[in-house]
This record gives sequence, C-alpha cells and structure tokens, in this order.
Amino acid sequence: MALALISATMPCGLAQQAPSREVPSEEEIAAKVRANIAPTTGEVKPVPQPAQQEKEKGLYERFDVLAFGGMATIVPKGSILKTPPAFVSRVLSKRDPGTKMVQWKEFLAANRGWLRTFEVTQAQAQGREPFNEETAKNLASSSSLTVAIFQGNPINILPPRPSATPPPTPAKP
Amino acid sequence: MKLSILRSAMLALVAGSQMALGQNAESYTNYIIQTNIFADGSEGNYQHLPDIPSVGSDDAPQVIGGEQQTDTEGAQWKYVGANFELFTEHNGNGEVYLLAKTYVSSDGPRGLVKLSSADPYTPPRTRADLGFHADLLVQNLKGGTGGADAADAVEYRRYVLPFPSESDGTGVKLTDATLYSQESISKEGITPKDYAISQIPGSPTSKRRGLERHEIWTIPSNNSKPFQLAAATITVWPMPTGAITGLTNGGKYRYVLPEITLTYDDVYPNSVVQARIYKGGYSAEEPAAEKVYFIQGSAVSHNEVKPADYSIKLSNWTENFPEDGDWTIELVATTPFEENKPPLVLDHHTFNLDRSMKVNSAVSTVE
Repeated sequence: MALALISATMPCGLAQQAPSREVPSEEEIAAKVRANIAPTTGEVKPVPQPAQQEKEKGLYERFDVLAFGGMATIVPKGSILKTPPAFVSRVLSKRDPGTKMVQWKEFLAANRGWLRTFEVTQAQAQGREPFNEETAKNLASSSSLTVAIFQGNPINILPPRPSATPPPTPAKP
Repeated sequence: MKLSILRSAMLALVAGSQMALGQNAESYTNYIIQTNIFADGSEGNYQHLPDIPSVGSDDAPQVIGGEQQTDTEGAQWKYVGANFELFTEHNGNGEVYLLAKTYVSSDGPRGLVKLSSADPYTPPRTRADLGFHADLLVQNLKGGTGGADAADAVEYRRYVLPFPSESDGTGVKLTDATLYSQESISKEGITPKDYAISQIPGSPTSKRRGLERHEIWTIPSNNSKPFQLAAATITVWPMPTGAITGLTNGGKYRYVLPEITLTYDDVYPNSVVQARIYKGGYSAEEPAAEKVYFIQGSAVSHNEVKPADYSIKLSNWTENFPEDGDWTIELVATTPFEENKPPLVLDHHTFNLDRSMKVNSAVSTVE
C-alpha cells in the first residue's frame, strides 16, 4: 500500500519501472552469483565423512515388484520366502510402466488366490532366530508365493549376524 | 511429541509433492521407505510404509515399531533409529527420484530438508538465473539454544555438483559433489533460507546445469562420528535462449518476407516457446494481448523433464501480418516461472513490411 502511494506521487520520470521482459544478461547473472556467495565459502572446515561417501541405494535396489492383472506393489528384496515356479513371472525387478501401483494391503486382498503372508518376529527378521523346522516344511510345501510380513507390512529377512560379534561402538548421537 | 511434528512435515512434503505435480499428479507414485539402522550404522530391515508411523511415546527406546530387545541380547541387535526416504516414480517413463531423506531416532537430533522454487514441479528444480528456497527443520536438540557440542546443534551442509555441458545429469555421481558451505544450526524448529541464485560452478553462469544437495548432519564429538540426519536435492537447468536469423533488425521488406530460422536453446522443461508479432517498435513492457499475433508453426511445447534445443524454419509466414508497416517479432518463452506473468523475451527484431503495389503507367490515345 505504502509502495503504491509512493509510486503514485512520484514524478513520472522517477516512477518504478516494470521489470524487464528480456532474459537477464550474462553480466547480470554473474553479478547475482557474486553477490550471493556464502560468507563461509573459502573457510570451509574439513569434513571427516563427506556426504558423498554415503551409500545411497535406489528404490529398486532394495525392492522387488509383485505384479499381476495390471496391478503391482513393491516388497523388500529378501521378503519373498517362497516363489513357486508358476509365479516366477509375477516377481519383477522393476515396475512395468502402465501397471497401477497400489499399497500392499490392496494388492494382497486382490490376489489371495496365489499370495500368502507369513508373520515373522523381529528376531527372525533380523536373522538372529531361524525359522523352526515346521515353518520351513510348510514353506517348502506351499503352492503360494509367500511374503514375510512384520506388523502387517512386508519386511526383508536379514542374513544371520554372528552373535559372537562384540557390540560395536555406537556411531549415532 | 516431536515425532508428530516430523511426521507432519514429512506428510506435508508428500502432500506438497502431489500438489506440486498439479495436473500431472496422477502420473506419479510416491513411496515412503523406512530403513532401520543398527548401532554400528549398518542397515537393518526395511519396509514400504503406507504412511509415516505414529509413535505412541517418544520416550520409547525403539523408534521403529518393533520388539524391544533386552540388554542381554547385545547392542549389535538394537536399532538406534531409522531412515525415512520419500521416493517418487514417474508412471510413464519409470524414472525414480529420491525427494527427501530423514533420519529419526528417539534420543538424538532430527532433521528434515525441503527444497523448493517457484517452479512447482517435483522433484524440485530451478533455473540458472533464478533462486530457490530451503526449509530446514531441526528437532530434539538438547539445549535448543546455542552450544557447539553434538547434541546442542547440527551442521547444515550445502554441496554443489555441476553437470557436464549438454548433460542431463545421467550418470553423475554424488561422490563428485563438492562442499560449498557449512554452518551450524542450534535453533529448534524451521530455519528458512532464501537463495537468490544457485552457486553451482560453471561458465557462462546463465548456462549452468547441475544440482545442489543440502544436508543436515550431527556434529561429531569424541565418541560419535558425524551422521546424516536429512538430505534433499534440487536440480538447476540453464536459462533458455533463442535467436531469430534470416531477418535484419531495421530491415525493409517488400511483398514477401524472407525465410527465417528460429533457434530455441535449452528450452526449460514444461515450457512453451514461440514467435509473436505486434505492430510498431519493440515494447519494453508487455504489449496488450489483443495487439499480439502468434506466428503459425513457430510454437514448441516442451514437456520433457530435461531441457532441449529446437530449430524451426519458416518460409511462408508473410500471411501472418494483417497489414503493412513497422512490426516487431519476438521469440518468447513461458516457463513454469512465468505462470501468470509476461513471457520471457529471448530475442526480438523490428522491421518494415510493405506489400503495396505501385503501378507506373502512361495513358495515351491513338487516333
């Protein structure tokens, strides 16, 4: 409001000009870059563990796709406990464009005929407690594709960690 | 308490992504991935979540919904926190982008980085001549005010990574990014940062392309290594440019205009570039819409996710002019930054068109 008043009372020649419609010049952009250099530039502290060194895994490096009937969902790699030969083609390494991606529960509800779940404990998921003999037998004889779930969501089963390993030094704050 | 704020922030990011996608919202699928982290920093179990989980009590030693281990089971089995990552996948071309990543633990600091620009597209992007905005959410600092030890502050790092000339970023590695700046944040809550322009190195500055990655880290102490709490990336694309060749500025043309070539370079994603004319000399201000005529065959609607170059030849374009006289032709671009604003003028020429016929004749009578 105040700006509008100032503008209205200024002589024509001094009125604020509309911003240029043209692309800014190279000099203008370079000047803008220089004017906005961070004050800390040039005195950056050494970074002991640069962010760049962090391993970043993509979505499909960690997840498989279950797809059937134009519908798909993702499950962690290592969560599929049993894949009968008839259903191998329903496990993909990447989503097929055009399929409709849905949440796990919706996919499960629509595919109960060939898909079943197996609720695991956290100890089993962490690989520190193997499946008992009966479970192993059931999985082996199952004709359904079986996915490990924890609290309702598919979860990967980690390879066993040697329990003799001494507790590592905590790395987190 | 605090987790609910983080949860809201993450969900806002998801919602923001959906809103940002606007009319194309149905073209993307979002995924929230939770990866549990062991005390030694290694990754444990991971899950695809329908939503960020609510945690009943922030005092619970296990952030992740799970069974609480007993002390006798050893520290190596304990999850000390979890990474939450928000991915989005284009339903058409299957490209997957990591929009945001945040680390959550019950007892350490938490952070979230959200980068955005006036371009509402997701994943975020901006132009080499324009700026962007960062919202840095920091929670669970011990003191909340000041101090430089690990629990009283976090470190905010800004990395820059230029792409090679003409590259669309395919194959670039974050390991090649360089640290541009760092500062500590000791204030809880959201710290907003406005950046007038990207600091990706390169020349000419208008044609820089690359990415900026902003991260929040814990500050190392004698008994803890630095740990990444959150990260987000914004892509920077070159400023579009263009040229009209085959026409002389100030030239006079009789009957038919010459063939011209319209060159559009680095057309920004989701932009429209085209040529238009209006009567008279070049106007420093946007001409009235009713006085502007668009040249048929000159328009390019560029809806790819990366910039591109185009070249168009126009030979029979004289018929676009309703009358003779002085005319100005402009190449204009409407990028996502010019929504509800005048288009950007990439090039312009003013010339004279005269199609009038003068018949010199003599009348004589023969008897």
